Amino acid sequence: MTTTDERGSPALIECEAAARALYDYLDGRLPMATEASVYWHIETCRNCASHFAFARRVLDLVPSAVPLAGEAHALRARIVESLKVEGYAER
Amino acid sequence: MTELERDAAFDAQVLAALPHVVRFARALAHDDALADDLVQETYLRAYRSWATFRAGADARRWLFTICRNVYLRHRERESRVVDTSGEDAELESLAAAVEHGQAERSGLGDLLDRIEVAPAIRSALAAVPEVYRTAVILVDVEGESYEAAAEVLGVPVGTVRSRLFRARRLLQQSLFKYAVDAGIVRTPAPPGPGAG
Repeated sequence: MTTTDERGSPALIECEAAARALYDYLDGRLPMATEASVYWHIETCRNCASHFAFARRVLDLVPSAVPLAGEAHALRARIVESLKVEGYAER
Repeated sequence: MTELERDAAFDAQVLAALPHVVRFARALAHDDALADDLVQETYLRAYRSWATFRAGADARRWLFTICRNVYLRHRERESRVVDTSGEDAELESLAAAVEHGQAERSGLGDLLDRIEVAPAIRSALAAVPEVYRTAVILVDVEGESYEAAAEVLGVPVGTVRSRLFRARRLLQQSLFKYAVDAGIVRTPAPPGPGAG
């Protein structure tokens, strides 16, 4: 992917190149020049902007959809009991 | 270090991570009773090898590694699931974008506003094979870096990236199917090339 033009500005990229960079872009793992090219593409391409926004939203929603297990008191007690057999001293 | 100090350190660093380990185990096993057994075994192994734990290392990441190994022992067949994501992670990104375009044309573009998202995502994640789902849990849920996830899974960073991208694409496909099953649109969900 060409990422800068001869003046050093972000190069124009096509939808396919932007789409290939989707998850690397969302994870912030692209080189700066490539990131700028993708940024300017989705600023000006309604379809790609929609893809990227959807993917971003799904990724943002995933952590809250899989909540922590809470204190898991019963399991903790079970674990502590099994550890005591190994010599663990509960405080 | 006395035994009391050793156990106090174990409490502070290892037992404190219990909710994260439970979440990780449940995502692996999809069976709460099995997950609890995995977690108990994980802690037993962690305690037995606590003396070898390097001070300053990431205890949570260490526990994830143990937990995954325990899980794979329980599910020998799962450990042999062929990872077909390959190394071309960019293709997964491209496919996800193309499939989203198809979904929009099917009227699914705003599905996240029209479904109960949390159960939909949980259901969709359950449909993602474990080898890919684990990458999502480590990176997207637990917030681990690609490098840390690679350490837990014992694979190169590039493999984590391709598994993660495959998982996200499968997750997106499953969300589209969930929306169709929920009657949000009448047209079938967009076909997912290489979804299996």
